[in-house]
Amino acid sequence: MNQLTDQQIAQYLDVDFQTASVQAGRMAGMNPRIEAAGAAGIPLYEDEVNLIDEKEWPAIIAEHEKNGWPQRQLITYVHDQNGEPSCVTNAFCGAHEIKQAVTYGVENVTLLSPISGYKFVGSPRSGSSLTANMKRFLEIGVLPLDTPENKAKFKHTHPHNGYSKSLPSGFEETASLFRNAEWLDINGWKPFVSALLSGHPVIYARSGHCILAVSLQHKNGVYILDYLNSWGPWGNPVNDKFNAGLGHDSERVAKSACYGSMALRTVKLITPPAIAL
Amino acid sequence: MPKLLLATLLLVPMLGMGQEVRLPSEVSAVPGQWIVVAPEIVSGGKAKFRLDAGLEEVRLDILFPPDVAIQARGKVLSASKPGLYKVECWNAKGDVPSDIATCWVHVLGTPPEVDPAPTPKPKPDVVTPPPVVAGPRTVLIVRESATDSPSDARMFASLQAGQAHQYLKSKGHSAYVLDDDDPLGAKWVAALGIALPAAAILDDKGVVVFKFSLANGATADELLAVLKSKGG
Repeated sequence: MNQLTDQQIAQYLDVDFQTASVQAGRMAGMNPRIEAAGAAGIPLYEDEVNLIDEKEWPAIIAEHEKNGWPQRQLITYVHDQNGEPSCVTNAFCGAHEIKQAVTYGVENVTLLSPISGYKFVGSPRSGSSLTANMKRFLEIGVLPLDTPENKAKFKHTHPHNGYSKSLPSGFEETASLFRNAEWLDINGWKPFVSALLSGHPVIYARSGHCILAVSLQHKNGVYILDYLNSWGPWGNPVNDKFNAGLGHDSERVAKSACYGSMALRTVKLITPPAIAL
Repeated sequence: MPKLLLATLLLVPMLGMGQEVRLPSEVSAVPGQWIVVAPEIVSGGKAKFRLDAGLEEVRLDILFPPDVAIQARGKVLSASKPGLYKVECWNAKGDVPSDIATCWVHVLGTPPEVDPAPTPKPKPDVVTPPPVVAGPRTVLIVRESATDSPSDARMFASLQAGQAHQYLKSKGHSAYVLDDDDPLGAKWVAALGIALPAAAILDDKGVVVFKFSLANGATADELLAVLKSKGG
């Protein structure tokens, strides 16, 4: 995977989403969560998982870089919310797909339809919160995207965008396959980075927009956070497959946005025949 | 390894008829770890052992009182390099020798570079293990995701998307990484019966060909080395 140049990073660093969304013809759409981290019904990351000592971060990041940025390799789709304020649900779908890739391999990821979840947590212009999306994912799930592969495999699928389109009757049956997952609440910079370095994608938000943290760089003594946006062909190359999608936040901006973010630890399995017992 | 556990493993009573020794067919360890190879059955005289070069015997006479050490029926071994080593064992009753029992010691990790110098061919009477039939394999990892480390993250990404993934794909193999809280993951934890994080190599019929616990910091390359040694 080619390294990004300083110039490439600078072009998409600490982007002002309100201005950039207009330029990109997209919308922000994150509503602030109202409850404190740890009070959303999911455990705090630091209560479940050991945190990584800050002194170890640079060496770990160097190894991740040498190995081609593990989580970025696992990205199989760059979502595009187009003109709808569904950024939070797009980020949740992106995180779920990364963890599916860890579980099954990149060829076996089921791409998801963000709007099939957003319809229940937001309105055409409102946006949605992390907590509402997390609960939707835990309780109901979302539908597979209406790709030819998914249509052949699943009883119900749904388009990527289109708030007004109704979901197919009985969709809950298929959505439940993508329901259970283990989300963890993040209450600071150390758990945020610990999750990221351990391979858990982190959903966070700032400037009214929600994005998915996927890797952390260490350049000239400061950290730069890489995130996957959901504006389709926007940003820097993600991996060998996607030429656009990646933006960057400086350490200062990332630190100010990390409280109240959510990490995805695992997704539950749809039993693949090769390992059924 | 605690001395009491060692003593239990080595001195446990064994029963048998006629002249016979029986060893576990295979044990696995990581470089430097102590490996106990103790006969499951000894019938007849005291068992004798032959070890492959590379296996070192731990001297029990400096760990235990002489009257305890002399009763040991097995060996405590270690190897500093990854590889497949053979332990042979036999005994006799009267003038009749037993068959030779063989235990393969699999020391996990990336195998050392092969010495380009010609190596002597094995003696014709050496017992060789059944041939490994190559074919499609499934690599299964079951772990508690709360313990995922940065090195685990690199291993999983390599297996499922990176360089190791390219190898798996080229051979028609697949890989699954399960959480032990998942219902299927929990079933596999019970079926494998080894410490987590656990790895298993399955053949195309879903039969476990080999299983082992992953060492701290294990890499995708090390896992592939085991896979390749098991027909993958």
